[in-house]
Amino acid sequence: MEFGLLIASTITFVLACVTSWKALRKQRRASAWFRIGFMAVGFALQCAFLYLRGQTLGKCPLTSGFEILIFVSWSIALIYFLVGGGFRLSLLGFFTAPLIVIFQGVALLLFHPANVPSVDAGLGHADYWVEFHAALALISYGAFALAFVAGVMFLIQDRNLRAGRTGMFFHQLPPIHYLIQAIGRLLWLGFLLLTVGILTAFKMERFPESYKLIAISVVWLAYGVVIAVRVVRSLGGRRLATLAVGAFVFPILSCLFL
Amino acid sequence: MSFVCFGYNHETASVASREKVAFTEARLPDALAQLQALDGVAEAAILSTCNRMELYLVAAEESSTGHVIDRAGQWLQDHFELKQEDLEAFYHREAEDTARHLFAVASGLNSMVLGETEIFGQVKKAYAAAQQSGTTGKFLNRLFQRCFTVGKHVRTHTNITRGATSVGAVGVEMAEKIFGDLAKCQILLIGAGEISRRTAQSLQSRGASAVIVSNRSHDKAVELAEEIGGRAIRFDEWDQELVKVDIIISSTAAPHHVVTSHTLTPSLRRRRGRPLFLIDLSLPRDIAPEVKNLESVYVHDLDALQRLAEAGKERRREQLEACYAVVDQHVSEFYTKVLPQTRPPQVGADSGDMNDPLTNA
Repeated sequence: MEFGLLIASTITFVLACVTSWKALRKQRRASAWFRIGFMAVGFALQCAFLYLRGQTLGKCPLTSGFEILIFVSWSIALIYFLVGGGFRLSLLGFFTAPLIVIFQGVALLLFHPANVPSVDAGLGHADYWVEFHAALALISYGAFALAFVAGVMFLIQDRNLRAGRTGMFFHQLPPIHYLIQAIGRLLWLGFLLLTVGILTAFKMERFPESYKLIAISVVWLAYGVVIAVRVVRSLGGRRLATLAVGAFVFPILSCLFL
Repeated sequence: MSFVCFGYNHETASVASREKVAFTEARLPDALAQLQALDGVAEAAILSTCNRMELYLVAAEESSTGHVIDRAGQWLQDHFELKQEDLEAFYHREAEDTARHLFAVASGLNSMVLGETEIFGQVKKAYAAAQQSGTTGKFLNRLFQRCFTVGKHVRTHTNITRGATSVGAVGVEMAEKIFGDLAKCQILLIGAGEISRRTAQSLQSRGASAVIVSNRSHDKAVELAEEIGGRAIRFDEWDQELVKVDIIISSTAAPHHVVTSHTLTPSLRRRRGRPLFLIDLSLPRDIAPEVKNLESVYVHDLDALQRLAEAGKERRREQLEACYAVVDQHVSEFYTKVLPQTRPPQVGADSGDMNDPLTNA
């Protein structure tokens, strides 16, 4: 059942990709609602999967690489719906859906029936600070992922504007000034969430393993440097977007250690 | 009953010819009344713009379209004192071709600037004037109301309106892709040339409010600033505005580069990453080539803008087939579903039908 929900969710996000690609090729906006609809259904299915998985485990489902990747995918969709809508950036969903598909696709590849927890295995004592810490950290990854997406969109539009290309993406991508603002806000959002996430580690009954803490601290440091450089050196849009795209390698690599 | 369209447009008549045959708003009611009084004409509407003058007529049941066209031509000749050769620029459409033509006109497919939207409002005005004069009946009412549906359909289901087709419009499009809402954008005009005035006005029409004008001749700068509601500054002061402005339009006659990376770099840091859009409308160019490599600076010269305008026109031309497919579908529906429900009018009879909501719509 859980696995079925996950497959259905992934297929729904794939459909979001396909419909938005078709709409883009035809230069039509009407299909945006189909994309949003598919993404909403995909997100609902993700929620259902995580809920059932959480019920089985008796705690937040973050016990394996498979679950972490699904949780990151869910975080990306969550930030997209909670924050992305506020930016009113057309094509944000177009670029976000494939990223979710990639994360969930890799998660599905990592899935092994032996990893399915039994009810007994899950019934342990849950330290809510651990769950809060892990969930906040991974939700911050969702914000960084959206900053990555906005960065990619900026770089494409920047290239179009400089070269005077008015092709497929030009008309539908949002103004670059809005993208710069969105990248800045998403970086701050992710950084603040991650900071709170790290601070909550000090409340945990048992301090997390040092390699996990180091991995997450490296991510925190990387984005801290990006934000500091932006504030101190008044980074232009292209450099900011490049950093937002490049820095996303840190959250991805850190998943190997969580 | 049959529809007839008789008139000229920018493709068939020169400006001099078009000037001869044009109806002002004040003269329309009289002209419409005279037109409807012609033998064989049951309903009439006149579409008169700077690029076209077209009579849309409904031939009464017992009249041939040829007869109606002859009468309309004779009336125009008398009305405007035209010679026979003046009528050579006129074309006529009959029956389904009239519907197809009007649908295409309302969709901007027959305009000088393909896909332009102003014509839609002009067709609406022409229809309203004819309605107020009481010269439309159930046939023209249905035809015109259908053409508004077609115009909207074509614009929303094809890309005929997408892409700028003039230098000014390309400048606006680029500015909107950089800044989004232009209401907060400040414009600096370096040089008070005609093309920069027009481009600034295009930007103002999209919300840009603050315009600063700088010119070697300060008097000219003051004159242009007053005309477009801006502020004039001396030519040696424009670089002090670089931190504040968002768009620079340069069109001086200087033989050397006026805007260089050396001029811009000190202000770029103080702009805190805010984009700067430079439009170079002069030849030789005012903006040094290396400026385009600066972070957050976007430069477009006249060549690039003209190339983009041409590309925009080409893209619109590529849409014509899809647009005419929509038009043809509506023509077919109009003739198979809408018209069969309409009773033919009689000569001399009141063309309006009080029970038909469309008649007095």
